[in-house]
Amino acid sequence: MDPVPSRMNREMIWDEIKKNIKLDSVAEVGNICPTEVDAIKLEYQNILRIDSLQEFTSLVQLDLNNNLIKKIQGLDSLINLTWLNLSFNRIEKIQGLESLQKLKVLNLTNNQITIIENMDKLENLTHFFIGSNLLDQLENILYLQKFKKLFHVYMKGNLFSNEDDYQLFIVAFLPNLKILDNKLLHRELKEKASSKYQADIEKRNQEESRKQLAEEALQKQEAELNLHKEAFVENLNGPHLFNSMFDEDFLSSAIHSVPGVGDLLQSFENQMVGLCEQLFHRGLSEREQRDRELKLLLSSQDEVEERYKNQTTLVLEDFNKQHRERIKKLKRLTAQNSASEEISRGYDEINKLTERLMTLEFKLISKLEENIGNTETSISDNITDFSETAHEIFTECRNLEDDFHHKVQEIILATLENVAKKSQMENLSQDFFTDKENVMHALDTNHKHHLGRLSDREQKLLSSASSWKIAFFKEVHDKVTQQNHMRISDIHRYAGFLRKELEGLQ
Amino acid sequence: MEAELRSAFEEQLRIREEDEKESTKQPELSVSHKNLEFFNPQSYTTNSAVEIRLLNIADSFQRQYAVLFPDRKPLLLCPLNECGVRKFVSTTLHPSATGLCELQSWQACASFVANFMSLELLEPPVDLPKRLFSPTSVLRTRRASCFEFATLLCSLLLGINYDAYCVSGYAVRDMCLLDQSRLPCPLLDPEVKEEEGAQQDPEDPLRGLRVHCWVLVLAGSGSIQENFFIDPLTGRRYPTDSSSFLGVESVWNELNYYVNMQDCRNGCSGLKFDLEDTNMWEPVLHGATSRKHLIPDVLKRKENRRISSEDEEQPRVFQMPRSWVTFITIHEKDLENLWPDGEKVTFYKKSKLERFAPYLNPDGLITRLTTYKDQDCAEVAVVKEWYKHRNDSLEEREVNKLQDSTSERFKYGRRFQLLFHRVTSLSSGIERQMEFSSYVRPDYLARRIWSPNEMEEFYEGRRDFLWYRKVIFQSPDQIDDSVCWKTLIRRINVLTVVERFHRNTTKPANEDVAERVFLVSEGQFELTFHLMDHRFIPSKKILTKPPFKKFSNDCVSTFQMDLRAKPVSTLAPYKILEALQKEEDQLAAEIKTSLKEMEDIIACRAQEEKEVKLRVRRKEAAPICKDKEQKDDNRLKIEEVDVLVSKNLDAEEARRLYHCFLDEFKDKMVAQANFLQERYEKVTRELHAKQNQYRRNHLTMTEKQQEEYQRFCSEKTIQKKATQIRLNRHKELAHQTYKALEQKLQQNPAFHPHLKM
Repeated sequence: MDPVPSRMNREMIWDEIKKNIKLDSVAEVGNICPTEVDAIKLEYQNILRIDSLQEFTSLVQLDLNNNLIKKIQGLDSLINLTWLNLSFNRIEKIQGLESLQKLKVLNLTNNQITIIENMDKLENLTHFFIGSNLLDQLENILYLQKFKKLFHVYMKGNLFSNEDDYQLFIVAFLPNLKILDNKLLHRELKEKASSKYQADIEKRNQEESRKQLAEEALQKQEAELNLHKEAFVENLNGPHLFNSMFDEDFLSSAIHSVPGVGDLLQSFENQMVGLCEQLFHRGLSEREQRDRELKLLLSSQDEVEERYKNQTTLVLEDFNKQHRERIKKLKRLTAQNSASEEISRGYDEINKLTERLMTLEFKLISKLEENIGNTETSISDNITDFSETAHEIFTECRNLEDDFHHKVQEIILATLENVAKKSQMENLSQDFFTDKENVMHALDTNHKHHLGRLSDREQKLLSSASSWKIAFFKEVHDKVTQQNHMRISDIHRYAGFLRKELEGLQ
Repeated sequence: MEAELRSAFEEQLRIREEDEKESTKQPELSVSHKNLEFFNPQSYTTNSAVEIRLLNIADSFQRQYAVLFPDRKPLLLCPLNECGVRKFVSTTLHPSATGLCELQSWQACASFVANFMSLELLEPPVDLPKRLFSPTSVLRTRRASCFEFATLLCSLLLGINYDAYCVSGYAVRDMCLLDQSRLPCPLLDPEVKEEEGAQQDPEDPLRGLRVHCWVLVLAGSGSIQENFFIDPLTGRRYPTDSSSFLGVESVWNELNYYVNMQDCRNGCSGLKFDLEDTNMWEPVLHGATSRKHLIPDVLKRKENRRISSEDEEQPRVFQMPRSWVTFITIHEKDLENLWPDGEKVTFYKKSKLERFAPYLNPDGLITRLTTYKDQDCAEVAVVKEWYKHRNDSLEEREVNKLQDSTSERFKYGRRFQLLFHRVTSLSSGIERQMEFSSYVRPDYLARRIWSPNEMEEFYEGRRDFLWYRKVIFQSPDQIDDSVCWKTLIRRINVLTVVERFHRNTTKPANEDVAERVFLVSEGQFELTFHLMDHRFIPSKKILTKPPFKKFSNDCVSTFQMDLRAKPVSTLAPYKILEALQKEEDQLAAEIKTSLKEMEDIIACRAQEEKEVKLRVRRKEAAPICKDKEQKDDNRLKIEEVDVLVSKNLDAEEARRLYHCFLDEFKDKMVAQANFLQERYEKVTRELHAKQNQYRRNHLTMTEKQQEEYQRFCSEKTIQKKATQIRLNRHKELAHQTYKALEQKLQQNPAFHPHLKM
């Protein structure tokens, strides 16, 4: 006889929740907020479809076992779920678990699943039960290798469970596993398994470590580049700048092939690289200094804050003690006159407290701002210093370029004359060197282009340095101001809370 | 059977001995003299040819010296020894390594020598002694002059490779007479340096004339960085320019004797101790090997001998002959029976120090330090007592009359894990403070303070982050403490409980409770949460127990810091309230347990104090040996049996000696086993403590600390294992070696004929 299917809806869920809470003491259940419910148990309800769970976002435990569910769905908003029981249903495919990142326990026993899949996001999975399903590919287990925290797996009753090396295979490829099919794994078994599949495992391990190494190298490179960017000197170590100057030259290959130019170019490059390196190292050391300065600022800010925090705590403790006494007294007082007197004294005290807290807060903020101001001055000095150095170095670069340009011009002119003479004698003409004007024009263009590149780089350095400074200090200021606002509103809110307490007694 | 026989025999023996003592109250000297003859080898009673030559050299040196320096006092070169034979002082020094691990530093040796013997003052105080007894006989009689003190200490120091010398010279009155009443007690903290020199030393008519002998230790060996003096009477260290020492006549070690040629008019402040410099120090034996050259010399000689074994008969300078004194042996028992009469009283500035041998006092008292309010030592300020071997693990007790408090400190591991207990009488009643080893207790309690209407408890390392609890009781009217403890607990009425928690970092600060106040009488709970980052006012929740169990929103008032927090509803506070109510019940039970424990501890202490017993470490708490004869026999080494062979022992004596040997050996084995066991326990305890500490702090530890911890653990584990192996091996072998010794003794011709009965 087929059971009568039922629909899963809000009513059903709330009924269930109410059942779990002793209703006699909670007067109005309507007050319970869906986000406060942390567990729902709906077993043996003949549910066909998971539904109406969207608002229970703080749900931690969900039991839907022994129903008629065919598809996993409707769980997307349950991001806090750590326990999901879907055993004894009719599920055929693993899906719909993408948002359950906190899930630790997943029970899918007694379903009709044929393949383990779509679980990539479940990084925290520790217990996985998938016994009595239709899994048939033992290799499919390798999918579970990505779950580093997984230590308990239940797989009994699948199609592959009868295979001879079923157990050894699982143990060998899931080395973090402690319990398999409700049995503790002994060391002997683990050793046996690992010796059997040693070759495979080693291969895998090697691959993994290679991948890891590559990733690490990449990360390291990135981190280094970031560091250079923070120092505003990215790509200044080595011939990057020099190469970028010559990347769009006209007739470069022809010009460079002229005897003498090659050497000139080489020495020019050496000088340029030297200057760039100088700038680069200077940049790094300046950055380090800034870093130190900022760390100092942070620690001093923390210190100041801690000091004022302690002072505030003392003031509050003092007040709270008094306040508690007053309320106690008021509760006992019956005579109206003395009560109202006491209450008005209470209000006075609250005002005094507010005043004291505000004074402290004001002192704190001015201290914090002062600290920031000091640091800002020294950082500005640092940046100005560095900018000047950079400017000097770039000027030198430009001088070098001018020098280079003139020398090349001379050589080319001399060569052209030579060629002209020779061509008269040998009747051998290269169309390139015939057109003198053309060549000189190209040289001029190149020169302008080189200078442009240099000033571009300089501009970039200067602007990024100054904009970093502005952005950074704006952020710091904003943060401090925001915190200040927050604390001031806290003080007012607290005073309001205290007043209300007194009002309640009137 | 055998044991019975033996005990009967011993009984008999003791009676006989007592009779002897009673009947023949001979003067002590004759008894010791008899012994001396019995034990003293020939070297004590005669001089060898080399020694005679040395005496001649010394005599001629003395004559020349008297001619050259008619103003100076004659030197102490060849005093008589205990057998009335003249001996050169350097040969009275016998470098002896005792082999006891307790005596491996100068501090230990100095304090042993100072504490083991009592002083015989020089008579008259301005003259050198006529006699200088050997260290061995001095150790037996336990009475010594300052010269004998220095000789013994110097011998011990030389035995453990210090570059030590005896110094003959002049010192101030207090030092010569061992009067320390103007010095601060070394056991007191030197924190109060008040009225320094306020009281001038009274003028001493003999100042600068009083003869004294002390020890000089030179830098260079035994990791000594700086020359210094040791006063052998107190064991204190002094700098070589100390104002207590007024002049040096001569110094000597076992190799040579040096006479001071430097000016001592300004005390010892300007003295140089470069003994090689003949301008400053005149040696008695010219060209004799000094300590500095001892080792290279020996090596060279060996080398020479190897190269040319025969014609090595160069004209050699006269070297100091070997000591005539036999090897100095100190037994472990001696380390325990320090004070010559079992106790010693020393007066210091504003304080009195009494010291007792262990097991002498039935309550285990070994040291008592009394400090006084005034100079005349009339009004007691603080009495501090140290105990040992007590079965209630009491180690220190301090009765402070100024604060009206009594504090007791206990050894680790006693009942209730109690470490410290202080009772202070205040005007409002009695305050009790107790400290515990928190990590062995299931509740992690570290400290508890009980004052009339309050109880404060401090915890360490709890999993629930609780670190403080304060319980305020309704003030009971006129309750006399101690008498009414029982009734007090029954009538206890809790008003308020305050609990404080450390930050639990797995929760957001805003939801992590920092303080929990149970206002029991009002049926209210106040929760204060931890501070959020950059916020100074904590969130708060005040919950009131609903009347008639009807919960509604009126029961809660909340001050929420986090504006984004979840909307207020009924369920969450209801759950909190429910949990708090449960906690409250539990709290009541815990408070009751605490009070019960307090009561138990007080009762237990009272009971323990009534029947103090000492832990027996060896056989029946070794009685203080006042009977010298028996003691001397005990001192005999097993190896010296052969000496006895020549003597014809009568049956009884032989049997006694035989048992003495066996007992001594057994003691040694037991002591060794005890030592190993103690060590094992100590290591285990250290490891345990460290692990506990780690368990509590490992989350906040730096990598370096972690590493250190690992290293510590592995080291201790190895130590532990090694000790255990040694212990097991010792246990296995002890029996066998004992049997072997027994057999060997039985076969010894000295005992053999007498043991067959």
